[in-house]
Amino acid sequence: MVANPFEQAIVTEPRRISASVPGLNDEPLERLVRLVEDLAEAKEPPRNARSPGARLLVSPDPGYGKSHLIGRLFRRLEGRATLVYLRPYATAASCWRSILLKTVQEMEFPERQGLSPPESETQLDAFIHGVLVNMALNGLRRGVIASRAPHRLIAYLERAAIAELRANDAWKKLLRQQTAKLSELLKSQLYERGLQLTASPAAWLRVLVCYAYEGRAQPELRQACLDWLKTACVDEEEGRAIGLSPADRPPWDLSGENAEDLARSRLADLVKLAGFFRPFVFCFDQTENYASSPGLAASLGVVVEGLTAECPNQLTLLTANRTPWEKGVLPHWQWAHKDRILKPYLELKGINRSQAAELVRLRLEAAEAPGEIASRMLAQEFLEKFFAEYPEVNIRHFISNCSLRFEELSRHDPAPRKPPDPEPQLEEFYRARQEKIRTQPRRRVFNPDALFWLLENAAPQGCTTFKPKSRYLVLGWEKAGKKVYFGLEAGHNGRRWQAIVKEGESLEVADPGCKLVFIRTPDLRPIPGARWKTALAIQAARGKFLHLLTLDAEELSRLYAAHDLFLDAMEGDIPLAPEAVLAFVKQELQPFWERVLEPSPGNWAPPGSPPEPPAGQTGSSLKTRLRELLRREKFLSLQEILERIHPPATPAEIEKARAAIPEIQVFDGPRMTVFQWRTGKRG
Amino acid sequence: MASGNPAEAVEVLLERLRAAGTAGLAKGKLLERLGARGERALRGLLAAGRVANLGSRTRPCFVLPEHFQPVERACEAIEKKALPPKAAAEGPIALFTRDELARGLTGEPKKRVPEALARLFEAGRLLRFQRGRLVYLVHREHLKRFFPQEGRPAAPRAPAPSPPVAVDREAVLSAYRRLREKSGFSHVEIAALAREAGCPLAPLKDFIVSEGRAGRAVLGLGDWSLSDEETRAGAIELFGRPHLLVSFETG
Repeated sequence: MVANPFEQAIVTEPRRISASVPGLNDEPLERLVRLVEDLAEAKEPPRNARSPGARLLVSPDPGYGKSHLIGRLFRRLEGRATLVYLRPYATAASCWRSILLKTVQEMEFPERQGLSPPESETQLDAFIHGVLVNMALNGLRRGVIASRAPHRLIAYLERAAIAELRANDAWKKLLRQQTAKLSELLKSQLYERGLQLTASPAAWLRVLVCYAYEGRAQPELRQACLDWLKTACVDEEEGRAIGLSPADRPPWDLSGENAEDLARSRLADLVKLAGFFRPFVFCFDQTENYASSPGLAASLGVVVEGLTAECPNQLTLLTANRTPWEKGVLPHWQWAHKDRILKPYLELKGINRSQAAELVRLRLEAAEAPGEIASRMLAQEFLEKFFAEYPEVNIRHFISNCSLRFEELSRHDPAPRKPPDPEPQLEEFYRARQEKIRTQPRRRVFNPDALFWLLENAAPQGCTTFKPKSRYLVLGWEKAGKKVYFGLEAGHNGRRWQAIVKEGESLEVADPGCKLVFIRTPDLRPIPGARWKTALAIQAARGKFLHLLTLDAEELSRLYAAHDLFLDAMEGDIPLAPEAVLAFVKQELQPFWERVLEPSPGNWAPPGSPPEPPAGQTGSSLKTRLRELLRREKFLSLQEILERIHPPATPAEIEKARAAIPEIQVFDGPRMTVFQWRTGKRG
Repeated sequence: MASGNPAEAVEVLLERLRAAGTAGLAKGKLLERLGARGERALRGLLAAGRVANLGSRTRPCFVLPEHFQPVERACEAIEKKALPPKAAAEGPIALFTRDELARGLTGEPKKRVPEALARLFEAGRLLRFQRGRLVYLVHREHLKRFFPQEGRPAAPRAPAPSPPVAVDREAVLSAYRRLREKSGFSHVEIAALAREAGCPLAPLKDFIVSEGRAGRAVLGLGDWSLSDEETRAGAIELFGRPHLLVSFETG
């Protein structure tokens, strides 16, 4: 039986879209492409190209293809702009941190669609390469960088690929040894264009060079560079290894407000540096969700104002459905912020008769549907009923009807299908989102917005939420007199974690029986760090009140899918009320919440895993820890294992422990050794 | 406003008439500050049928062709005259002669009074009573109080549909343009359009449906949950779902 080619009526991931119908909403697409091209055309790098304002892509109701158009835009701009897709953030108080975090996360993913990170250069690789090469080219052309054969070097740099430069020791040596001179060059080139970085140019250079050329051999340094880009506090030792002076390292005890300022300026620096390379495109999708509170809606206005006023070399694009935007978001914006969105808006149109026929033809062809079905679906009487009254209709409505029609024709059953029951439909929508997240590495990263939303809105029955007065704890639950405090920390700084432990100790004294839960994702480095002086204290706290809850891939997809489901309901992408979705999510996450609420530290290990050795006796079972790590992560390089295993172990010890675990298989490659967890190996 | 050339003067005249809508404009108002160029442009427009005179030669009232509806105007004037004033609602029934009802009409509507009366007789809105050679006319509203709703005998024939309330296309489209300009969105709320155009919802909906069939209007769902009762009243159903928004092809 042929798969229904019309089943997919909603775009949940703009980087994975189906074929487009020629002519359908080409106008807004071409306008956006031209706007980005204009940003890239002005002068020679570094550019200080400013977009006069943000753009709003609007449709009269859900289902006109906003996310699909973003997908088409991303395809057109692949390799021509740094593309950042932004789902709604959850709190106004951390909006800039959230945008910066997502920007860096987006930059960590491949330049080209369909490739996984190891196969392809990432957007960040390309960005760094572009900035460094263009800066050096400028220096060579002006004679600021001395060379015996500048023309030959210029010609080489102009065509050198990233991999080529990565293998070029002379280039790396130049970047490492001439940092002071090059940072002056960077500063002066930007200054000529009226641009000034907030962080020191030397810090930027060191981080970019370290990430691009040293990070591959030392993943922990690469991670520390990413932390710096995200304005998370960097470990002292790692900071020194990168070459960051103490003044260049984000303070470990930043208050929320200062952290916001820092994130805002880091983002501005990033787009200023983009003047050496290519512009950024920030796409804020699903903006209906900002209407959930006046403060959140107003914060989006502040963000748009900030991006247009302070950030050159970028295009800000917002998508919206007309009524929620006009009635839920815009009323909370100041006039000055409203004026930052340029008119006329980019408007999406519905599908017309000929485009509908083309869409049907394209999808049927791609699915290799039987000719009989194709001819009946393309028949005049089927298509005509949609366009008898009006020349254009909602695209999603049309596709959904095509899906029903296709099913009927496939079953040879002329009777129309009964509308599905809402309850199984909800379950089905949820599972579909879960499956998507499972297959998209891009989504399996730390997302504090989704986690915060779940903690705040999907708390289990009987829990009341409260806001703790703390620098490290974002939310609290109280149930039957017991308190649970939550933290969402992505950083990897011993002093910050020490401060968290101290705060936990004070809370435990004041409120015996309380616990601190820090939800972690697999992309974050384990806490405590291998060489931290505070490791023992942190481990001891883990045995009392500090619950470091590291999600495995399955739990992560379950949680993020719940958040996605709610966002889609809010946007009107699924025919379900947000309240019904919320009730379902609470029910669905009940087993997870029980784990969160578990009071006994002995039961905090993930279900099915062997009990953790007591604090202070971690050296007793390297085999157990290695087994547990691989069982959880499935696939790790030796370097990653060395980084994550605690207390530290040598490669020889790892190899010895590995030999005693039949489920682990080793692959020796020319560049690295990789360990894989194979469940079928045992017994 | 000065117009530099005849083409500009034509545009100015048409724009003024578009803004005036069904009310039209007297000559002085229409040609204000246009001088001889305006006169020439108006003559050309009248000759080309792009402007019509609803008034008389001596007291012209210029309108765009789509507002040139003399019979409808005559119907309106006659009905207005024939309808009882509230104070007299309980007293004797007022009888009118044909000439009395046509009094005050000028220009084209006056010429079309016979047609207008025929239409009102056919629709059953105006009734004829005869005494000798004299024929008296009475509006049916006068007789309503003698036939209360309960127990009223069935009408001998199906009541003729009331004459359709004409929607002023240009007025609707100008109202649409204003709303579009104000909001920045090409889809506007149907209820808001009715308010802006100053026309009742029912004929506006009919108008939208007919424009849709002609390929000049498109509906949008909008957001039912975020809309108030007034906005919801503007809904037009399509594929079983109420659509609150409309967008027009205005060229």
